[in-house]
Amino acid sequence: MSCLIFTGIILTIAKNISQERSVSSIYNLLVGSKNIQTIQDAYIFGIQNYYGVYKGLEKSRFDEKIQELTQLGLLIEKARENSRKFIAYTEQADYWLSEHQQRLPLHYFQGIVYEEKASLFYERLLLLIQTLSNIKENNFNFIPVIHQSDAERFVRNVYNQKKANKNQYIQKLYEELVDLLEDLPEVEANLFVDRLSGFGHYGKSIEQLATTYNKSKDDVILTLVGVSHQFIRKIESEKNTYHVLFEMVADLQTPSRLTDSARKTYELFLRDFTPEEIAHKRHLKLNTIYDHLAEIALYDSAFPFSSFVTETEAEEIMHAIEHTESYKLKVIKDAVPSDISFFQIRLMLVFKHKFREGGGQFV
Amino acid sequence: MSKTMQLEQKLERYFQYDQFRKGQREIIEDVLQAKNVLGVLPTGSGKSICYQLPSLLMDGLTIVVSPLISLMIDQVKELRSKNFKRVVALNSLVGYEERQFIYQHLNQYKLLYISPELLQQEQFIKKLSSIKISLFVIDEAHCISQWGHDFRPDYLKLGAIIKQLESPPVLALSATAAPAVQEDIIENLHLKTITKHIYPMDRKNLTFIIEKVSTIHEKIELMTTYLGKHLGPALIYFSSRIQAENMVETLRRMMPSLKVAFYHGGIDPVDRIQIQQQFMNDQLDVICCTSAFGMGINKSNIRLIIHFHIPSQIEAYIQEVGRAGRDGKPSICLLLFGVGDIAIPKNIIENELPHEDEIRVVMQQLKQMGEEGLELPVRDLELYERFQISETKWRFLRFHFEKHGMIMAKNIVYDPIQWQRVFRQLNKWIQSRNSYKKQELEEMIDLVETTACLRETIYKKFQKGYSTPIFQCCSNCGIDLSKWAPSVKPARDEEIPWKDKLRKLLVGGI
Ligand SMILES: Nc1ncnc2c1ncn2[C@@H]1O[C@H](COP(=O)(O)OP(=O)(O)O)[C@@H](O)[C@H]1O
Ligand SMILES: [Mg+2]
Ligand SMILES: [Zn+2]
Repeated sequence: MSCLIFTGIILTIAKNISQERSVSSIYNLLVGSKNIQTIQDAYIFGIQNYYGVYKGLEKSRFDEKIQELTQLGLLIEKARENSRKFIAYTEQADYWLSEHQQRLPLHYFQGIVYEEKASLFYERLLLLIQTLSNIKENNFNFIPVIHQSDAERFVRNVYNQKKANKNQYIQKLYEELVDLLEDLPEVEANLFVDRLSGFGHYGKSIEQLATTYNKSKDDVILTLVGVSHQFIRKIESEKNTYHVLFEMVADLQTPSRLTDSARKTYELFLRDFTPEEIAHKRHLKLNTIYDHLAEIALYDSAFPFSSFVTETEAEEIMHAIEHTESYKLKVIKDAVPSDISFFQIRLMLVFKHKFREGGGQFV
Repeated sequence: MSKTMQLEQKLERYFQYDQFRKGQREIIEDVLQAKNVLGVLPTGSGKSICYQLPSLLMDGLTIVVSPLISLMIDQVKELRSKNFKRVVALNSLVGYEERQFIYQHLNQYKLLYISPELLQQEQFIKKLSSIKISLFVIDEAHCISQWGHDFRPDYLKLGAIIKQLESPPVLALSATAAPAVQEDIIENLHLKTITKHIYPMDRKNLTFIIEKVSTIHEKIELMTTYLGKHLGPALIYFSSRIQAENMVETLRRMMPSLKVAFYHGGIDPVDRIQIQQQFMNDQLDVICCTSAFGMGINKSNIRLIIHFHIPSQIEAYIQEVGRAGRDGKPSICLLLFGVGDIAIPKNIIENELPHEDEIRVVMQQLKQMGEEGLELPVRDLELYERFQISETKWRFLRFHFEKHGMIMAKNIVYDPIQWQRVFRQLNKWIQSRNSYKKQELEEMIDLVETTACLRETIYKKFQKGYSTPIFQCCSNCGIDLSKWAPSVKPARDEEIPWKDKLRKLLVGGI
């Protein structure tokens, strides 16, 4: 039973973070944790494509997988720091990756941009196909496979709008899907279609797909996610070819990732309250507000870094980052004067990421 | 023309059945006289007609509280196919706009199916109390009872809702309700008078077999022997998810001609529906499942139910085997019992409800949240993950905290003396629940140990005597399996290339 994709993704992430973060940060990335640290790390280490690609991953399954890779010598366990486990990527892993590169569809994934869009798109597609397949046979009472309000609303709208010429619509949908599927390797296309339900037919479960295609459940799930990402990318870049399918993604925004609480802080921040005042007003700890500000810094293109970090401090921090070759807060903190705070270091990491290609203005 | 004749004509006119089945007319006559009624009739006996027909004959709206969405969908589907159009189902699947539409047009319906969760909304209850309710039905009414297997706090609030609706006549229906459960149902619904219609629940087409084994290999051997004779729709019940999963692999290896899959509460929601419907659709032969599978499964030709582990109580056992032979044809119920098997259900019982220290931690954390002025999050998930307890445990605690006013809407109301008292009460109550469940388990173990007729032992708690079985009675009375020849053919799923499959789904015909 092959588990190539899951292995490939974990090794790729491990390679990029090279011991700078604990094992659980890999888990947080895969499940798409809304934690700002996770999102920042995703950018800092260039692993944002894997953000949220395996949302249903259970912690126990992840731990088991890490252990398996360790036993295979692809990863080695490094020091533990107060119960946080660190791992390193081995030479063997490098060999493994280059060996399997050809067969790994890692280029499908665009987690940070598509993770949410893709799951909505996939749910819409499953429900749409099931619904059209049934109403075409005049069966209006079937048990829907999806119970999400977004997908229901979408399918209801499509139905109301296209009722009059539904046969044409269905034909078009079929042709566009065939077009997309034909670009995939045969196995992936089969797997994708086997999951679909319709009139008088219910699609295979993840476990059934795993057995049929001799893949691990992880790889079945990741294949479905990857294929969805790949589809959306094609649909969006060729709107005119994929007319019907484009309507399925057109209204889906790439989400702003500010958490609700950070958004409230942001509103006050825009009204010129200081962090201390915001903390007081919101009955929150000052550190929480700093967390929010670090989050805001990532998204607000006009974030005033200089209000929090002086030019000299910025230089000290940047120097320390280069010198220690590390993104670990603790390591950097030890390398700068003690009056520089963790918050300031975090801000500079964000700054460095945002303006990596130079050109950024320290304002 | 006599009254009963008239009713029979209505039955014929609306449902195209030429006569009532046992119990239906008696219950319907009482319902039409606006009496409160408790009806206990076996699964498949046609309880739904007992409110569907009255709903058409009475003035106003009949509300049916139903625990399962798939049950509602099935029923609405069946009614619509019989040209009963003024029926609607309200549950979490119905989108916001559609819900609003239904709220606005309530008086156009005769029959409303609703989940207990949706019936909790204050605004909706107000809406309902402004129209005439002809009848309030609780299907699967054992869910109300604290002794029922499916503990659902929302069911316990129905009594209060009935009162808010100005006490319309109530019809409570169940397939398995021993006397203690019946009393509990009546008490929880706050009904002063009620007319009971209790019918025997024995199923004369079921043959009960218990096999004691000393190793798991023996179990597997017996299981495959029976499956080999049968090769058609069958259910195998396990007490743990992981064992159900593992057995699928074993069975696929040992019996490649059967299509086998597993089902339990932990599988992905899409998969849950796909597996259940594949089975209904004859795309699957055998499902290895936990007790999470089966309620509302109306598949008529299941011929074999195997219990790989002992169920936790006779009621659960009766419900689970009741899924066999809905079409009335001979079917076999095989219970496999190994020496170490009692440990699992004992363990389950002990961990179903929260332990004393868990309650203490939850209460401390709630108190702290209250002191920090925090509101409870909208999603329960955040809470039970924070408290590190299971969802069921949290729902149980939340229900009791709300009942005692410790949680009001999103706020935590702290009162040290009262919280102490509730803490003690809860622990006492949980202890008594656990010992009750252990006693139920004992009854199940007695069944395995008895040398008396199994049929008699199974049903004795509910009724005296039973009808003569149409096939063979039970392993204690003696059975001859060579005579069992169910004629069913195994499921087939054609393997065709993806493009043809997709065309067949969407465009149709190939
Ligand atoms: N009087 C009758 N004559 C023939 N079939 C009936 C009659 N009453 C009910 N049925 C059928 O029996 C089946 C089981 O009915 P249902 O109400 O679902 O049973 P229950 O709720 O008791 O398990 C249904 O398919 C129903 O159409
Ligand atoms: Mg029923
Ligand atoms: Zn007997």
